[in-house]
Amino acid sequence: MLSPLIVLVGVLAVYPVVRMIVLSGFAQNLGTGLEAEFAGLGNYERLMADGPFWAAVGRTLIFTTIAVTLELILGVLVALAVHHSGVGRGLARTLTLIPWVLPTSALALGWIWMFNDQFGVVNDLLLRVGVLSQPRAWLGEPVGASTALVLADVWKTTPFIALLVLAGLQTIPQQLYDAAAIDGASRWQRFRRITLPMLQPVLFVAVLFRALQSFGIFDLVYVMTGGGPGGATEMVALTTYRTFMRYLDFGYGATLLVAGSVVMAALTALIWLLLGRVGRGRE
Amino acid sequence: MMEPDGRGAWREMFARFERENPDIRVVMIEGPAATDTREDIYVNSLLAGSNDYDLVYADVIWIPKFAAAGWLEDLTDYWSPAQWDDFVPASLAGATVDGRIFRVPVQMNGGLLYYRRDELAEAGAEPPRTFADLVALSKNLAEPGRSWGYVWQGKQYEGLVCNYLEILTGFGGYWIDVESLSVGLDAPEAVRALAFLTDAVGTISPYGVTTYAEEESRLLFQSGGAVFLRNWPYVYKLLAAEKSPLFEQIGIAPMPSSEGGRPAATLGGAGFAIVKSSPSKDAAWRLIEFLSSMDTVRFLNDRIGLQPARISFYEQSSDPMQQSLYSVLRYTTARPALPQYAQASDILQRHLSAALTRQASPDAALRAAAQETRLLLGGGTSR
Repeated sequence: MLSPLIVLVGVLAVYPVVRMIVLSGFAQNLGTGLEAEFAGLGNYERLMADGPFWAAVGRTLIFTTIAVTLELILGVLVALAVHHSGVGRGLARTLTLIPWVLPTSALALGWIWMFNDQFGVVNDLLLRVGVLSQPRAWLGEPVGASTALVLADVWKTTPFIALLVLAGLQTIPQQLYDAAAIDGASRWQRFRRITLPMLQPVLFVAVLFRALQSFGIFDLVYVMTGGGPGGATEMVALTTYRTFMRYLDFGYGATLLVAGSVVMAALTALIWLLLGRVGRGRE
Repeated sequence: MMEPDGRGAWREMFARFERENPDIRVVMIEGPAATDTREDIYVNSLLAGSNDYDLVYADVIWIPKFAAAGWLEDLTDYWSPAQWDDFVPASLAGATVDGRIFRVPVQMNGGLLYYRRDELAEAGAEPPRTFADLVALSKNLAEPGRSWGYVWQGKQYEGLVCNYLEILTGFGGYWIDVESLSVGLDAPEAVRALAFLTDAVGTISPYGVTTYAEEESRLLFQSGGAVFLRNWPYVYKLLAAEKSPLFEQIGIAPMPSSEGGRPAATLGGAGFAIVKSSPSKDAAWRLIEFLSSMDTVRFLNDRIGLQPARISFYEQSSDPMQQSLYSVLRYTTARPALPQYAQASDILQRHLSAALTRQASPDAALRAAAQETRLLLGGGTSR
C-alpha cells in the first residue's frame, strides 16, 4: 500500500535533492559547452570565496527576521481582533485574505508606483502629514528599498499567519478562560497564560513556513528593485536564479542551492529550538 | 514564441505566409511582454533539448549566449554577403559571434532624445548637441518644484547599461572591446560619463530616476514633468498620440555627445534565429525570408511601429520622421557580443547603480566594475 507513496516521494523530493548535490560536484556551464565535467570540490572552493553570495545570505536572513517578526505580531493581533469581533467574522476573514491570494508580481508593480518619488502615494501621505518635507526616491536608497520590500512582504503575508492563528484560537476551549476569570486573572494574564501557550504549536508552524518562504523571496525583489540600488537588496534566490538562468552556470548554481538549503536547515533548527520545544517542556 | 500580438499584425503576416506557402503551417505562441521572461522560457525549452520551437524570436543580447550553448543554426551562408549588406551594420554585429551570423534582424531600436518642441521654441533654442548644452538647457527650462530637465532610466536593470553606454560612447569611451577583450571602464572617459549621470541626479534629473525604468520616465515626461527624455522609439507613438497632453509638442534628436564626439544610441531590437535541432529548418528559413522581406517590415512599421533594420527601407521612405529616426539608428552601438554578456551586464548594473545612489564615487565604482569584468573575461567562463 505504501509503495506508490514511496515512489512519489522519491520522484518528487529525493531525486531532485540527490541530483542537485551530484551536480554541485561538476562544472557544467558555457565554458564546458554545457557538458558536465567532474570538478570535485572546485565549486565549493569558489563558494567559500564568494563574498557577494554570503553577503546576500546575511541580507536575506536580516530581511527574513524583520519581516517574519512583524508579520507574527500583526498576524496575532489581526487574528485576535477577528476572533473577538463575533459578527461579520466570515467577511472579515475573507477581507484579510485578499492580499494573500493576489499574485505577487502584479502587486510588486503596484508597490513600485506607490513608492514613486513623483506620483507615489507613500510620499504624498508623508508630505501631507509633515513627516517629510521633500519627496524621497524610496527604491533608490539602500535602506528605503529594503524598508519598502519589508512593508510589501508584511502586507502580503500577514493574512497567512492571521488565518493560521485564528484557526488555533478557535480550538482553545472556552472553559479555560471561564476558569481563569473565576480565579481573577486579568486579560493580559489570560492571554499570557492560556492563549499564547495553547497557540504555540500553531505559531511554530506559521513561523517556520513563513521564515522558509521569506528566505526564498524572489518575485517581489525581482520586480520591485531587481536587487538594486547598487545590489543593496540582492537576495539569495535572485543570485541563484541569475547563476542558473542568466549565466547558464548549472554546476555552480546547484552549489548555491546546496548552500541555501544548508542555511535553511539551520534556520529550521533555530526556529524549532525557539518555538517548537518550549511548549513540550512545560507540559 | 513572440511578444504579445495585441493588434494582430503578426498573426496577419503568418496567415499571409501560410496562404503563399500551403505546405507550411506556422504556430505562433504569444509569450509574456517581458523580454527576460521570454528568455527564461526559451532557455528552459532549449536546455531540455525539446523541439518546442523551430524559431527563436530573439533579443539582440541573447544571441552570443545561445550560440555558445550550441542552440542556434549558423545562418551566415543562407544569404549572400550582398543580401546581408542591406541591414544596418550594428543590427548584425550584435548577432555575430566569431564572424558567423546567427539571427536575421526584423526590428531595431536605439536610444533617442525626446524634447519639448514648444518649450525649446519659446526659449529660441535648438535641440542640444553636446552634454554641456543638455545641462544648460535643462537648467534654463526646468521650473524648480514643477518640472525637471532631463529624465532617463537609472534603475538597476539592463536599461541602465543602455543609458550609460550612450553617454560613455558620447564621451569617446568604451565598455568591452570584443576583439581584444580589453575593458575600458576605468578609463577617464568612462569616469567622466558616469560623473555626468551622477551629477545629473538631483540637479537636472529627479532623485527618482535612480528607480525608473522606461515607463516611469515616460509618464513623468508625458505629464509635463520634464523637458528632455531618453527613451526608445516605441514611446513616440504614445507621446504623439492625439489624446496625449504632448500632442504635436514632441521633437526627437540623437543623444548629445561631448564636444567633438559622436552621438550614440544603444542598439536594441529583435529578430529571428533557427533552433539547431529543429527538424524543419528549411521551412523556418522560408518563414524568416518572408518576415524580414521589405513588404513585411513595411507593413509591421505601418501597423505597429516596428523600426526595420533594412537600410533600403529608409532610403525609399519619404517620411521625415523615418529619416530622423534613421539618423539615430544608423549610429547604434551594439552591446558586446560575448557569451558572458549577462554577467558583464550585471556587474556594470550593480556598480553604476551604487554610484548613482551615492553609495560609491564614480571613480571607485568603475574601478571595481573594471576589475570584476576583467576577472570574468580573463578567467574564461568561470570554470
